[in-house]
Amino acid sequence: MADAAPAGGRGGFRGGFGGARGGRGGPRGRGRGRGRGRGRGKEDQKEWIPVTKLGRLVRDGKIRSLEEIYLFSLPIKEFEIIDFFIGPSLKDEVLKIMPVQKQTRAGQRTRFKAFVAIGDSNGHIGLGVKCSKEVATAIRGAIILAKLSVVPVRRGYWGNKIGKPHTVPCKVTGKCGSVTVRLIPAPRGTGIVSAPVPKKLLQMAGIEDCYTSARGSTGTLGNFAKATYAAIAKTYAYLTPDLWKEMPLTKTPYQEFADYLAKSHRPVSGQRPAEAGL
Amino acid sequence: MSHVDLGFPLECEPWRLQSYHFPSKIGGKPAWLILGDLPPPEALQCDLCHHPLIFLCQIYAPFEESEANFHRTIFIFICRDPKCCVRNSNCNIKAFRCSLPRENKFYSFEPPEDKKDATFSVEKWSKLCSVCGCLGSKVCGRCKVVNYCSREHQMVDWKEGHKSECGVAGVDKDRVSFKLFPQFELVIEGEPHNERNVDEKEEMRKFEEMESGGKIGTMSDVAECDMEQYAICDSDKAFTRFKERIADNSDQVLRYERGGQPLWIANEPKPDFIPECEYCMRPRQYEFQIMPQMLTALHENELDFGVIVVYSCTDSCTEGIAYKNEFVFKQDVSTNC
Repeated sequence: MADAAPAGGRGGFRGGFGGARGGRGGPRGRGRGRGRGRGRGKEDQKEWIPVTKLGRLVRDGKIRSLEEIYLFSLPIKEFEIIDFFIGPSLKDEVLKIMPVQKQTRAGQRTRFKAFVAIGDSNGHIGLGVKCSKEVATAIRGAIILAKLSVVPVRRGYWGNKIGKPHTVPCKVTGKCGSVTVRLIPAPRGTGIVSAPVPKKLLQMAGIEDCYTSARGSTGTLGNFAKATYAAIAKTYAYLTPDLWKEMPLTKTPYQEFADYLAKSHRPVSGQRPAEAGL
Repeated sequence: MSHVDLGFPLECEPWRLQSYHFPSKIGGKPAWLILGDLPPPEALQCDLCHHPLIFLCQIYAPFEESEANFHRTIFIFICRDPKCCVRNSNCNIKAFRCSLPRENKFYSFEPPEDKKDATFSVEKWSKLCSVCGCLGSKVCGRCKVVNYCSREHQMVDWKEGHKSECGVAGVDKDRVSFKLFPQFELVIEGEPHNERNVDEKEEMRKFEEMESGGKIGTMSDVAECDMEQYAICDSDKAFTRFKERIADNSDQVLRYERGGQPLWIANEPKPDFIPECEYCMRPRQYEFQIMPQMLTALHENELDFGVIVVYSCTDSCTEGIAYKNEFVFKQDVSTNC
């Protein structure tokens, strides 16, 4: 008859969702308990199941590179997308961990704030900050936020085009609120001339030489960050002479695959070959 | 203390998902509970394009305290046209609730055996559309053997193979239309409770250990306010919380907690008003939600949603028609970064 332990009061019928509770977690004699292979606790690397449409397209391999996503300015909400493309080459660096305290009626509540910078020394950087009750959780959360904030950095030359690009391609300014941040190309060997934090960011991006100039009211939280990122993002937005050639317009990934799927209208993975009808 | 049941997809033999096993499943054709008085085609139309909706999933969720709800299933239907997927609108989704007492004319009083029952047939009670499995009141004009729910599905079936068999060969009862989603069983597991009581003193001690080891960051001398200016902070806290909550069971496709709170995927929009049950006028409460991982499990690339939250009648009233409409709220992932 019924294979699993029958639920009390139902005379042998299986329960469904919201049925009687047994122990904590795991299969409780309802359903089939046919060993989904679970209940073994957290094992090795779990497979990423995407939650957003962009995530699904990335997982299926429909998007060729991270640059395609930047090209269309699609919001990236899942850090696994970044991991998928440049994960192996990303290096994270914990910049600072500090305890922050809040006064509550029951005394002081201490949490830990972690700043983590992430970059692949090849044109991508991100900086994340996370506050949490545990140090390890704060670091992990900050790494995730850093990955989500990754931006592409374009590098160019100061003078002769010998060797690899080592500086920003041109003078770029980013502005947010009253804060303006300006990045200026520098000759080889200059190093990065700037405040400590943008210096670290530019270094991790792979820029070797750069002059910077910042201006504005420093009290505004986040504005310096956004201004710096705006300046860096502008490196790709500036139309330099070598980009004057006409390029054909391409479709956004959503549009491109909508057409492909509408035309072929076949499930991506094969359906079950035979299914008894009712 | 919340007790959430999670649903996970699992491949299984088709006969286990027939009505007499009272299954919870996704994809394929609906396994109706009450085999007569099925929802008519007019009730199963997309609000936007007026084409027939396709079965998405059903859950078997009986009320243990109510005899009239000894068997109880909720069915969800969705329109497969991606153009009907309007952000944060439920116009392409419909939910139906159905209840049966243990003593009824369709099924045995005793629980079903764990094997295929060849005598069972829905045809005794209602004719079903051969494409989608819903009520099929129309019939093929030529051979008068196959039923359809609408003209659209008749045209679909014609192209998919009925053209060659109409009136000539035997009708292929095993043909699965491309309109349907791939079929899986829904396995129920409880969400494990992760209460981690953090010991503040312990954490502080760990921190001091790291400090003396020189591991608290390569730029620990930079002031906090200087550092914070350069960091982009988390702008979508609801999404982050969503990801953290599902992290341990990331392949879940359904969350069930009758009377609980939904796990939102974005801060807004949230429903400001839940309509009351249109049959008994009592209020509705949250029952379960469908997660976006269901789209991945079904290999679906065109449709998109964040979470589909279903609210049902608090009393699960049983008077009136067999399949009662319930309120559905769809929330999409927010687009700001």
